[in-house]
Amino acid sequence: MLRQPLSAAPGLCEAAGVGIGWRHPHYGDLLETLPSLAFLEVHSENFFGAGGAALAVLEQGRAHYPVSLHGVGLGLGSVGGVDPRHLEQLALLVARIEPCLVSDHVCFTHGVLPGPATTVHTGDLLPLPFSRAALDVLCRNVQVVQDRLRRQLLVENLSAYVQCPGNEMTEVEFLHELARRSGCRLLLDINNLYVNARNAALRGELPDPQAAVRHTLDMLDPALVGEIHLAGHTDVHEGGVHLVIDDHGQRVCEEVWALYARAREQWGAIPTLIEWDTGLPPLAVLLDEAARAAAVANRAVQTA
Amino acid sequence: MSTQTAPADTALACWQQSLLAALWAPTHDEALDQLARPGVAHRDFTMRGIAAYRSHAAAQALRSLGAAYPAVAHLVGQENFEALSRLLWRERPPQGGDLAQWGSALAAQIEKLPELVADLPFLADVARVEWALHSMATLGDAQAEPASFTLLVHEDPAKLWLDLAPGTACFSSAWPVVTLIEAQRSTPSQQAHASETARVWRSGWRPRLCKAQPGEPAFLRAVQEGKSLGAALARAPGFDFSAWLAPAVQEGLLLRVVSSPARHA
Repeated sequence: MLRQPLSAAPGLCEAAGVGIGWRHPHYGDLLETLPSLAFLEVHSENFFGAGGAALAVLEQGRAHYPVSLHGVGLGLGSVGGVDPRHLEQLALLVARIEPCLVSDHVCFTHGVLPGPATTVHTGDLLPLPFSRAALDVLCRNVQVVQDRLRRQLLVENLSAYVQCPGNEMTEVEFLHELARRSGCRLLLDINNLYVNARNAALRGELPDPQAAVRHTLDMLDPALVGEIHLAGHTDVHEGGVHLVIDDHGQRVCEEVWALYARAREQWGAIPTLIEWDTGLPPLAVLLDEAARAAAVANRAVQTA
Repeated sequence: MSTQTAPADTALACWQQSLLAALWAPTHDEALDQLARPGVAHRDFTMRGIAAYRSHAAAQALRSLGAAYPAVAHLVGQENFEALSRLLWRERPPQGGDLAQWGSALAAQIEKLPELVADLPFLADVARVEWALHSMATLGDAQAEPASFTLLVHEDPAKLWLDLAPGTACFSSAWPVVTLIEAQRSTPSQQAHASETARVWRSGWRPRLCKAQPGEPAFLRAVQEGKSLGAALARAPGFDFSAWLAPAVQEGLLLRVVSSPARHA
């Protein structure tokens, strides 16, 4: 059954520009300089407490910018369901911050270990097969979250380093079905698409990663995309294997910029985020990347 | 969290359980047995991918635990702390998605390691105090009400109740736990060998630590149990309330005085 679309997130319109991921080393710099940004994005789990300094800083940031709450721990694809305590903490934070966007990932994060049946949370974003069973689990869990938050969720495509057995459809078909059935929208991470395509090329499955991602973008229904993420990645050579890791520790690469430009030309205005999570450079570097994304968007508007 | 699985999800559940087992396998070879048996397509890439996930888990464990236990990390050294974080991750894994709340079991884990206990017998006590300091950082905020302190001048202590700062607790130890933790922040003026009782509390947003006064643990415990000021003082005969009061106000330990137990936080 298709879900009725939920109401648009408050503040979505003003956030339809470029924002940055706001991490601890930049808390002070950003509040002192208040650079021009459409929105800030933070990891929800870092602000789950009832009080304290971090939450106070977030509220200061919220006084100046729309804030997007990006989760890394709901585990929307976990077969055991969403942790009700985690969801309650998120709901409290959403009520307190009134974010412009709330998002999490197409992944599983927790489950029960074999043997003594220990429940564990991995603290990681683990891949799901593009299967009907995974879709059922995701839709069920997304609906639980949306019903509790009483707002639409954005769900992000994943970069993965192991191949899941049992794929029954393409990633685009999977994401479309997820959005249409659950009423969520998609957070499209173009770097994740590119990392997956590069790794597939390294396995000899694809001739041209950029062309593969272009094809994916062409197939996506832009009406279902509510946000774009841009980030950097790192090539790792170890044990005779070349792997591309989505570490959010570099500038966005030229190929991803080109793909972003194509998406903006085709899709128009969509909130866009520069993510940087490891080896954080000075704030000015993130602002430089954000300015480049804004320039790409402006060129796309002029071309249209 | 719920652990029920619908029958249609069985293959998916098996996949998820296999990947979890690979992440928590004691050795990399055992992890490979879960997902990268000989004959699997692109086995070398799968092996490398599993290694990437396992490395990320180890880094997460180290980062989370390092944020909570800087003194323990300093005392055992980087290499041992990394091993300790990997051990705790495996033996007492996170059960929720807020990893800042993972690691409370470190003191108990340390006590299960006889060699570590023999080398650093104070380490578990240091860990207990550091966890208290870490976990109070996200407690709900509380404001002081200085005007309420005038009640102490005129009212019968048997009819007064005290509200203390978030996270207030005392930890008695046979070891100089306060000195050991403070040594991470500044150079101690002298090496202390005596037993110490630590008092922790949150002053504004800042977790604080000091040596407790004689009788203070019993006094604070009684206050937190809802006893009146008079009753709490009776519980702590060696406690010098008049010497305690001014610093307690200045340092944000005592937030307010109320004349009704119903208003007591």
